[in-house]
Amino acid sequence: MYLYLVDTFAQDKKFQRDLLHIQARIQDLGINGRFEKLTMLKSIQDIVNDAERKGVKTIVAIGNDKTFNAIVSHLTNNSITLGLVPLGEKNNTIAKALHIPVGEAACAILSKRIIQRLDVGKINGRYFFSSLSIFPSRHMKIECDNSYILKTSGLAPIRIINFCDDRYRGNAQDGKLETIVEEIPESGLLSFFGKKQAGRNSIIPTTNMRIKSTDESLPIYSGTDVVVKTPATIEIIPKKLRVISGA
Amino acid sequence: MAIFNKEENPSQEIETIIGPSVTLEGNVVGNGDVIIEGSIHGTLKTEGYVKIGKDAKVKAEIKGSKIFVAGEVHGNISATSMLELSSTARVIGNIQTQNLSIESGASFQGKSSMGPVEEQQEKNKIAKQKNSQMAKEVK
Repeated sequence: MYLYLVDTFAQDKKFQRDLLHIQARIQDLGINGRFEKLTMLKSIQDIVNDAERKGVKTIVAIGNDKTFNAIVSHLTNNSITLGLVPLGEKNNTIAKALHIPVGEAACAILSKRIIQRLDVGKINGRYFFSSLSIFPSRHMKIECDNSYILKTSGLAPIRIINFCDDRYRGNAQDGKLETIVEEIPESGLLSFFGKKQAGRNSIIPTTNMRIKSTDESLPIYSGTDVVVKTPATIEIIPKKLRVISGA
Repeated sequence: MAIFNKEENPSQEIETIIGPSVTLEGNVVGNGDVIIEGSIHGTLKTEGYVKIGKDAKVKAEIKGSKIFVAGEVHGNISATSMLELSSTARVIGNIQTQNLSIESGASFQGKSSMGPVEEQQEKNKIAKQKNSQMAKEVK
């Protein structure tokens, strides 16, 4: 049984035609299902929880990265397979990486049903798929893999990548999270001449970590939304998620 | 099958990079290549290549297959295949490797032993055991 979850932006007038074509194509391919539209009164959490109760086997996000990530964050069991029909030109990094074309053409991918088992991250008991980011105001200490401590000395952003974000791509099949500590370009004479120099970003693969901020509690973001505040425990759950991909 | 190939995801070619603003303290164990441009205190063991950059500060025992040092290392280094000290390298500690290259200008204080690392470790173990046996017999 399929459930198609239509994001709010996808209900905009400019996507009306696309939605009609998608519905028609789904009928043609015999992968019919219930369409649920996100509204002010119906959240993703409500729809996902209801789908799990009713034994839905496949949830298809009609939207973008944000829609897909939000569905993953509300999943509580791993028997559900996720699909994606990307709409719009922006925020479709997940679809691109999964070789899923935008709009109606994505329905053929759903119909072929090539399933990949992908890693999923967990932060304080809640799932995340793409990535997390932290913007430290002071030095940070992160306990990694129960064996070493990662200390940062700058105020550079820290990104924890499972699948991808707007700048980096990870590998959601390696059983690891890539922690990226960005280097801020040095200001000085070179920057005066327009040549800002940045050191190499740190990339540290880990399977679990515990983040504590020394003074204040810092927000940890998934995209633009705050997921939790520090302290936080983050781990990778290998091959937990079943996702329909284009290759 | 991997979702990303190397062309799409160049960060996969180098598995760990410790940048200038990062310090790792403790025991780091891995399989892939490691580039150190920041600081590391403790131990680093990998089956891959290790590059210690010119500005890196390492106070650790380093084990890898091929190790290139251009920075500062306080600690023992053992490379199963090759150890290379560049002109800017400063090493205080013992080194153990099969192939050694030291460029003019490099500084090295410690003992060096050549040959297969495993063999050397085995020899050291046997020597230690003999010493402890002799010490017991004397008592």
